Amino acid sequence: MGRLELRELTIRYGAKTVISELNLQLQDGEILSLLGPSGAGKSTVLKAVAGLLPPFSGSIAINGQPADHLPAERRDTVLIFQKPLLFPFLNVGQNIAFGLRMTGHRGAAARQRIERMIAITGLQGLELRRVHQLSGGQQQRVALARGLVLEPSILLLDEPFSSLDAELREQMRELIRTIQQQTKTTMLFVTHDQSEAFGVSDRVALLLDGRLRQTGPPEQVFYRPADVDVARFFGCNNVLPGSIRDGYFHGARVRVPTERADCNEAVAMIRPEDVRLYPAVPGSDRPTGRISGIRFQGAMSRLTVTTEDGPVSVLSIRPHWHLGELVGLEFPADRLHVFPAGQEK
Amino acid sequence: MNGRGRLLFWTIVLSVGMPFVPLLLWSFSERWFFPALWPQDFGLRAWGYVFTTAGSQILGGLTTSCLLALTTAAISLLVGIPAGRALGLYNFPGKRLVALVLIMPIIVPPLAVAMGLHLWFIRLGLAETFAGVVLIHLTFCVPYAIFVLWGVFSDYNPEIEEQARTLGASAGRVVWSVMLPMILPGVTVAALFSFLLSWSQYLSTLIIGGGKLLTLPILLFALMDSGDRPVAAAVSLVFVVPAFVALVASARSIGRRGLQGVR
Repeated sequence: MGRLELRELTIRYGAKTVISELNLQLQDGEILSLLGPSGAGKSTVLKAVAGLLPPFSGSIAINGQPADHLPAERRDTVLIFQKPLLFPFLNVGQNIAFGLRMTGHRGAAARQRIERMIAITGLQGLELRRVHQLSGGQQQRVALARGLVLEPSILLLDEPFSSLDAELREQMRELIRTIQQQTKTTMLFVTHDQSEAFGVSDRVALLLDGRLRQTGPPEQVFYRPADVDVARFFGCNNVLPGSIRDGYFHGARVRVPTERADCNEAVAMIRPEDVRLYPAVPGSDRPTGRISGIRFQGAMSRLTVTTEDGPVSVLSIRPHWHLGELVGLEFPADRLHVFPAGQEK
Repeated sequence: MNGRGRLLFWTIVLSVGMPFVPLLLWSFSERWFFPALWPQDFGLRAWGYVFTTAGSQILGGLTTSCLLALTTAAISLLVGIPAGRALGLYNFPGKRLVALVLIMPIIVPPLAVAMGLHLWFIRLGLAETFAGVVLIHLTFCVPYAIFVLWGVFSDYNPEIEEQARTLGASAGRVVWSVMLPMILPGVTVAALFSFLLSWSQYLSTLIIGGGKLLTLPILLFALMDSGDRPVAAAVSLVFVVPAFVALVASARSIGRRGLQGVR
């Protein structure tokens, strides 16, 4: 249980600004994913919240109380790193007990908390194992138990599953959700993996170039991107140039209504899976193109359609098209995201 | 143990044990003259001399040597751990120069180092004192300790300390409950190096100590000069025992976990 509030947080390494003016609130018992490409400064935010890195300016409040002056060991946060970082000279049980020992919790109450956490993380019977005898997934579960046993207000997770294989990662996400339901711990989860962010969290915050671009429920940031960069980050890579006049976006061969203000240079973006292909009708003024590439990717295949206005990327299930075939393209109006072009970098 | 294992085992036993065979024979011999291959008479005269007649002198030598070696090892660690950490974890200008300076007392002949420093030590009133001898031993021991711990810290991930901090460990407890246990095997090796190096110093102890500090090697050389071979052999064996004990004791802590925990 805990609330976190970051206000105008700016972090610098020397002269380089890594995070600028970050504002973020976490509600009690919420899981928020901080999503962004590698090097966007996500881990830096976590370290600042944990007290391991002094921010340049701005403030951090935990449960409404300013925490800026507190050193890492006295903040009510625990950071779970990418690597399990278990203490090799302690066994599993001693590792989990480490934080309680450091904070002076002893006796039956401490014992009980440890046992409860061992049960929640499914580590029963492994207490006396040495840490190098555990598998990667077990090690990360010990790391989780070691952090959670302290019952921190905020649990900070820094890509904790990125070194695990796909199946284990899925199990760990489930575990995080289960733990969250049982302990109601507020979690700030950092990841570069979209599906992980969507699968784990209540809300997603997208960090690009050290700035927070959009915060909201997973479906919202995915389907209603706030700007061109956000749309691109989520794989919306088809860009149709045009302009906005009288409440309509006018492209080379598309015309869709929009609420945006008039603008001479604008773009409409569409996700590759939203583009529809149909057999070309000769003489039609609808956009047409030739299939110039088919790449099988498992559930979906990625087709490249070369049109007069450039290549369009299309994701399609079991495509029945062939290389070189002439196809018609349809851009459903409700799937096009229109942005003023000035936003694009 | 298979054939090759047995071969390896006996090769090691032989190569380590061979030098001690003549020592053992000499220490238990009464008469052993050329060209006999074997002592003509066995007896306990030498050991009797070591434990009774010269007993207090040798016990004094043992105590002095032990105190010297322990003090030197302790100070080597106190200097070596922070220095090794700085060299292993951080990059700073002049790091290569530091390595060169560190290796100097090792590559410059110890005689020259000891002679040169002797003049300084006389002026500073350190000659013929325990502190002076500790200092001259440190010039040889500290570089080794730093090199060992430099290597240890090159493989050390300081994130584990950040992890400990967020788990509620204060800076002091991070050093005591995380860093030291993590680098324990390396610390043991460094301590052992320093101890053994100090333990076997003769020349530097003689020059700086000026005969006032009677360590075991000093006594041993005196006995060898006197020409009493059985007694010299017995004292040599006494000299080996503490070093051997130190080695075996530390081998347990090195072997139990090895250096794996450092990674």
